[in-house]
Amino acid sequence: MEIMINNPCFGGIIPSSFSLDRHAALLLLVACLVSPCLAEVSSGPSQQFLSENCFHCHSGEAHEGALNLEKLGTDLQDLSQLNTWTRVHDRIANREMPPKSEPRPSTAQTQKFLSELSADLNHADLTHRRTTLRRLNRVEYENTVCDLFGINIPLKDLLPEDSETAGFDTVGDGLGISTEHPLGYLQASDQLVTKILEPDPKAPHISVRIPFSQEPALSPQMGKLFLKLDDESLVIFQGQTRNTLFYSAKAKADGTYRGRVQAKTYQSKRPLVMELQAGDTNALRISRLVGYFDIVPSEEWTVVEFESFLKKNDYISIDPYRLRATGKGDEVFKGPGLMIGEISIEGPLETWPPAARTKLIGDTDLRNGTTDDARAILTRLLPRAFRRRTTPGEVEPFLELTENSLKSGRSFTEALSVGLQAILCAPEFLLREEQLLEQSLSQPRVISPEAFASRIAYFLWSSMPDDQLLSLAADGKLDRAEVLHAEIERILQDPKSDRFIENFTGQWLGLRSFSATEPDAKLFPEFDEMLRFYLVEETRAFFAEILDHDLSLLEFVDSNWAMLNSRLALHYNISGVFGQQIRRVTLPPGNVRGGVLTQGSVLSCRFSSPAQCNAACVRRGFQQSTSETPNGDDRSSSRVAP
Amino acid sequence: MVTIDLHLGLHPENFIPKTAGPDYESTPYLRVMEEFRQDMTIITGTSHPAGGGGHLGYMSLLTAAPRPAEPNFKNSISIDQLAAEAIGPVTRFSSLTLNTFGSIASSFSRNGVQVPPESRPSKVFGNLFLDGNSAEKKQQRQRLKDGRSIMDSVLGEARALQGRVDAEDRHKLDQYFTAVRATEQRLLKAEAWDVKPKPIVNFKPPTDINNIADVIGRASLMYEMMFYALQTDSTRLITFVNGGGLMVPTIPGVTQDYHSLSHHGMDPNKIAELTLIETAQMQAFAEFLRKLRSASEEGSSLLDQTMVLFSSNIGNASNHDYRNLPVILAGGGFQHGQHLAFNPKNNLPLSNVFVSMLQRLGLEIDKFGSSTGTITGLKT
Repeated sequence: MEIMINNPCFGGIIPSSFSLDRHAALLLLVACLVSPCLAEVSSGPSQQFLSENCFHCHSGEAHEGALNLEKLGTDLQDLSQLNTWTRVHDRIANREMPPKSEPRPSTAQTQKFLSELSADLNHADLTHRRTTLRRLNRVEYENTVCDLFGINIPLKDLLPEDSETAGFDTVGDGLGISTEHPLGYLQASDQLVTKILEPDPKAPHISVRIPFSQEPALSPQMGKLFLKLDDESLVIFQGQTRNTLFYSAKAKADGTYRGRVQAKTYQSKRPLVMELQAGDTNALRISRLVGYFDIVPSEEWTVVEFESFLKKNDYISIDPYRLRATGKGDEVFKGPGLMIGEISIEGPLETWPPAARTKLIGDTDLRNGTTDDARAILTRLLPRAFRRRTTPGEVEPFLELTENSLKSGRSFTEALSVGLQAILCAPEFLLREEQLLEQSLSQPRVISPEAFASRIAYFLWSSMPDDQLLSLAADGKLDRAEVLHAEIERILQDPKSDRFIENFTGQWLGLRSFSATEPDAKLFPEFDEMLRFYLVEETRAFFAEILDHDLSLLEFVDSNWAMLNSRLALHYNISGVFGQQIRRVTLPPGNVRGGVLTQGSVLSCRFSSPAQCNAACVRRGFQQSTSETPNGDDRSSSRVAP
Repeated sequence: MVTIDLHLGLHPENFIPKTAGPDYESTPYLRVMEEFRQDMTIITGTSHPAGGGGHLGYMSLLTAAPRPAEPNFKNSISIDQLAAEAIGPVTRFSSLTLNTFGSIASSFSRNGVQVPPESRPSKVFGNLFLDGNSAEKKQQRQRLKDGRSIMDSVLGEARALQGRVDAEDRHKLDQYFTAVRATEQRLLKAEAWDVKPKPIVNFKPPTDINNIADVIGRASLMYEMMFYALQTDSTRLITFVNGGGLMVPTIPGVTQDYHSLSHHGMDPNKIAELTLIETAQMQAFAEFLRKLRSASEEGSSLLDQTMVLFSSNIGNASNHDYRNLPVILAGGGFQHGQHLAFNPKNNLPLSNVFVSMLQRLGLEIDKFGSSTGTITGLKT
């Protein structure tokens, strides 16, 4: 029997007998897409089996359960017939039919009947399956433009929020196109193109390196919150004061900055955790976590190095996690503190011209570019933007826009921008057109290798296929199993595959809305920002562990291990786990924290009671479609591109 | 025309008057609204005949599209967007689609695509009243022109694509066509509006309330933006989904989350807490009406110029009953001051109310959704 996991992100259906093998989903897709050896729909379910075992009740005038099998047609192209036969299959397979009170056929007879029927049903299901012309959702849009140009720029918030279908934003029929969309695309492409083509912004560079005790912003609290030692090092006894700011190293421009902090424990036999945040707390902007770092008792400094994106006017703040002694910045206090030595920040690290600009325009001088330059630039971009080979004529409409702008006397940069923006607003870019290789009503539809490459990339990267994947597809090499396997392996090794984990767990297990609710501080006094951060990380790490090691899907339900660090272990009351690193931990016998259902993130997200939560988990995670084969009305699940 | 969808509904016992007509007996929630007795009509016994879908009912509250929870549900145009086609161009913004958080909204385009809502009052305020400097303005104007050429160009692309896809995908492409054409129109209109300065106001720009548990604070701030928008005639069509949510509202005496309180199961303690929240909701709504009534426009109050439909997509949240929706129709120059009680067992289509409202806006229609006429007993 096959339990169908009816989950849009898996592109339809995966038999449970598969583990979440890293190839399984894709192999199945391949089977759906390219296998030519599927049999014709057979003459219909075995009449003999039916008449011996079923017609007794399900035929004639007085048929039971509104089911007359004798009269039921065998045209599986008809959706209602397909659904009825699927139900027949499942009830027999579940041994619900024939009922216990009736004589039952032998196991061998049943198996033979079921295997014939399921072959027909599977084939019919494939012929019914098609994908809707699907719009990129806004996460995919942002990833795609970033990967297309090799740039890192947040754009998705300029686009309308995507509606979810069956809990996912990857369902073609659910992804509508409203008037707000073109406006959003215009705005997003404008920001993007401006960023790529802007002249050298000559971003002011900073490089500050001081003993933290010399930071002027700290002096008002010296001797109160902080203690300055003879060797110029600083001790912080209290976290979350919003006073431990590295204010003299305020960023003067947006960009990536590199930092370095010397830290030690003070009067503590136990390791401490140093929390680094970045932000402009003066302007009440919410600061972002840079990271939590273990500081283990030692004579030597622990040196923490980090890179972080800072916006203009952002700075770093340092807090000892969970140290709460107030006003103990004197030499008498004997409690633990975090000692900071030298601290440095340098950046922005980005240099001009950015790689994205060079990649796009090559050595064209934008000050006096020509129509020919524009043609070369747009022609280079087009096949990558459309994710397929393009014909020479296809660039003309976009080039025309640029030409017209040039003719009306505007600068080359402005003129080029218009052409580029048009490409990014074109339906070929925004919609995932899946060209078919051949088309016939009764045959499974076969999409082009390049469309297949896009499916793989949007499935596992939430983004466009890269040059290598696309060229393998264009050369027709992707249908060779060993090439496909190697590509999948490469794709999963790529850090971009983290997006799959993030987006999939974010929706399947509701992690995206984890922070939308706030636990009641009276009921859950132990809840803190660190726990909030790691609870989500735990579930992602758990999913990644299963994916990386080809583990059984059943591990999601129950496992004898969990992905923990010290904070999570403390929360779950599990001893012997130290440090910030999340790693696989074998659970003590009888511990309930294996599997996703008992993870804090899943238990707390969105549901006001455990009962609601469990119901939703079962519904979402372990949805069985045994009695509801995707039918024509339920396009959301059956007609999904991964 | 303003519509408000109080997403989790109102406890019927506290809302529905026991008697009908002009001298209807007040109820706990209506007592909050007592000062507006002559400015509003209470309408009970209406719903969408093919409603349902529990909380998903918000999708068809203003569209009357049947069976919102079914998998093959296809939405249709909402009354505000229909009205926008007629009266949208007279204001800077043809309509505003607002909510208090998340992505739910009650406005839908002709294709049944949701109009993306705005939940940040600061963003609404910025759009309504804040201008860029002159270099920015010039750039903005060029951007609008470029936008139109780009839209024109991609329409050609879409036409080419149309030839390559099958009938079902052509439907999706139709959405793209409609969206692009509408965008062209909006850019044209924006160019025209761009020449005109935005209204100069002395309202203080709002500070968004980030705590989503401050249910009333967030709703009130949005009501304020709605009032500003109407007072400056920046738009004449607003839909607002006043969300419920799974958080414990920051109202003294409330200890449980809003959504589970709405499923009170007749537990008196839960009903008591729910009543606290819903009374606060009524007070926030009353404050909005108060503002509208005290502002005057061409000799009559802004409230008399503005139809306000306060309702919910749910009649009784406790059992997800979509029938017997709570409805208050205020302002808009109708003869108010009564309780129109329709059959609670056999509801009048809510669309009848819509037809009356749309006609009042000047639309020449006699049918919308499942309507069987206009609403009887409501005079202008």
